[in-house]
Amino acid sequence: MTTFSLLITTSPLASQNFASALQFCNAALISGYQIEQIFLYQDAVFAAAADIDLPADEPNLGQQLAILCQQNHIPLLYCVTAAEKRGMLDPGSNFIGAGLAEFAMRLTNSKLVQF
Amino acid sequence: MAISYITVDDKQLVLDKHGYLADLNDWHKGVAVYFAEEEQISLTAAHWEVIQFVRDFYQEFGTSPAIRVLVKAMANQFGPEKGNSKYLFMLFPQGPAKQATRLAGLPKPARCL
Amino acid sequence: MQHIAIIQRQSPYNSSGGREALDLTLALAAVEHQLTVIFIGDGIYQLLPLNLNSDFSLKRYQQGFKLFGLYEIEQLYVCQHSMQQRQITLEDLSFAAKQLDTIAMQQLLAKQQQIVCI
Repeated sequence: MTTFSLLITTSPLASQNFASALQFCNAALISGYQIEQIFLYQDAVFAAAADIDLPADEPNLGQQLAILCQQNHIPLLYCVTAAEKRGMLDPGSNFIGAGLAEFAMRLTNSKLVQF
Repeated sequence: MAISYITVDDKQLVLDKHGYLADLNDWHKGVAVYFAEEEQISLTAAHWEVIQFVRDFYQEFGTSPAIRVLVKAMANQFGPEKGNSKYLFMLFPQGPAKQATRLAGLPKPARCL
Repeated sequence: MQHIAIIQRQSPYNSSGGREALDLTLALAAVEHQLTVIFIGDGIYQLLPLNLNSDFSLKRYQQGFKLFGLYEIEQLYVCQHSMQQRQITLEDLSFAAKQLDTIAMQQLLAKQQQIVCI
């Protein structure tokens, strides 16, 4: 059975991509596929910010993704260099700081889907 | 944020927040000697060779080499006896890419590569 | 080891996407994936020579393309249609890349196991 890697490159606030990734993950898991990793790169690292404060009627897609990953034991990684450049020194605890090298290595046995 | 300085040959040089030289044009050999002393490295010809090498690398590619590419580039230039991480760690025990680039006055290499 | 294509689509003059795509390319190549890099649309502008004396406020990462040799990345392509639209020829580019028409591009992409588009 196919194992998937997900790469997200856009901000959770600026597009629908996180929502699409969430839907993809749910559908994949329900169908019995495994997800090897979700990697946040470029502006997607904003999802890992510790102090996100959204109005109650706006979905916190990064947090939803973090919960999904926690429940299903999926490594949710973000690029530390991309995060440092954006001033995020101490991101939320559900997100794992990693390098592009780790993303590259985990990619070996999985099919990549980009959002 | 407080700016930190070092004083080398009676001149104040600005550091970035990682303790690397803020302006690589400020660099001269005295800066490498200063950083080496601070990091408890006694400089030999082998150290200087690596320092010069990472400076040339920056000149050529516009970026500080991270460890993997440093090993690869050293191997291309000097052969496998110097192009391996054991040799480089012997010279710079706290991390060759991290320390050699600091001594060479370059920006800190990206953590993620 | 996988065959991975990176598609570079962004202009270097108004975004840092090209630089982040380059970092990604090198990281993937460093763990022995087989990389193909394709420049399409405004991504072509990344390959024009840089005027080092001009006052430009984004990081000049294009020198970093010279690292492809060190990482043994040899599959470099540009989209013929994008080149024609922008009146750029292979001689204008700062390094050698092969030009592909739409059909050849489709074939190249079909051969890849993974594609990342930035």
